[in-house]
Amino acid sequence: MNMFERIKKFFKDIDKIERENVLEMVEKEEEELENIFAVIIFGMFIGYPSPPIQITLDMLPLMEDELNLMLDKVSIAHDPLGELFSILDID
Amino acid sequence: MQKQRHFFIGKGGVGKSTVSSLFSTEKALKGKKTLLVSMDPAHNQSDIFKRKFSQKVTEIDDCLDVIEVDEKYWKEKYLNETEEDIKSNYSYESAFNLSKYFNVLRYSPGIEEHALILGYVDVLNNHKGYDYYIFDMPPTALTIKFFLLPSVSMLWLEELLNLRNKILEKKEIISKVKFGKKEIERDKIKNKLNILLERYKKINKNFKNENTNINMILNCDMLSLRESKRMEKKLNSVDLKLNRIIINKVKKQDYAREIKKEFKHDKVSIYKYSDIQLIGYNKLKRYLEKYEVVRI
Repeated sequence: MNMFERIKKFFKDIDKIERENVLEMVEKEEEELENIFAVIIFGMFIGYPSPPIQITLDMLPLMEDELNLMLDKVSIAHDPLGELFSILDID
Repeated sequence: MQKQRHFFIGKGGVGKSTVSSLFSTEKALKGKKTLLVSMDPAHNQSDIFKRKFSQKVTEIDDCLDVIEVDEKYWKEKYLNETEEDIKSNYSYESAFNLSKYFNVLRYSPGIEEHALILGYVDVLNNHKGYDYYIFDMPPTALTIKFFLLPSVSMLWLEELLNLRNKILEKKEIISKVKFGKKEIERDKIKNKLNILLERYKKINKNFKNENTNINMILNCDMLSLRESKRMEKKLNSVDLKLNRIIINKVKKQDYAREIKKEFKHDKVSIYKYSDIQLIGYNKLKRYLEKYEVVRI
């Protein structure tokens, strides 16, 4: 690999790392939004007010993943800071 | 003539079933094909006509049929179909875990009015060819929930769609960065939300249609007057207007006029107090021959 190629690769790697970092943030944000969406629809399962019951029931068959995500989030709810630090990569 | 839908609503005991059966009889005697639909889970029409009614149409006269909307049937049908849907879409383990949540939903409030809506839509879709559809409604609380359900659901669905669109925007960004292109995928959740929204818009439009008439029945007493006013206010909050005020069991017409003033409504009918018990189709006919329904 010549010098020119090495510099090119170096910048490419940096770009990749940056992209991955940003992507990870966006993915996390998206996951949080999905969780909020599930909490709004299935709120009654964890004690929140919910939309008219038939909306919950009509959406339920299509939302297995979202429901599981919400239930997972409930189980890690006792350690929200730990989760935040792991997203931000803080040890 | 356009098909007319008439809802008869009011406080418990004011005579919704009697007035709706008299109104149906009156239309049928004029040769209008009339379907009287009993929406009240108490199903008083069976007692009035001295006949056992069901979800199948029962013929009373050439122009008069009666049908009952069985709220329990629609509730069970809906819950069973949803449960089947879950079983076919979910992995075995999730479906198994979900059954405990599902049993909570089975007994939660709110299913009743949805079941009534399902029954109502079924009557309109599967029993065509009538000039008049007369709905004998349940007492205040359930009736209000029935009329409010489409508007409230629409509000929720619009907000959920906004949130879903935000999620899909993020998903698009992720797929663009990851795969270098926008992955246009039909989102089944957004799709379902749209289908539901359209369904409620249609029902709401049907409620607000000029051929839909909401008739409020009350008696000459303060309690039913106050409750009726509150009911009117709630219906107005979702842009539903009363078409006619019906004062039932009237002994003195003067008092009815006072109620008319109180309501500030231009369409008021009076059904006079009957000294004979209105049980049986012949008695209903005799009442209409004996007493004229007064419109003041």
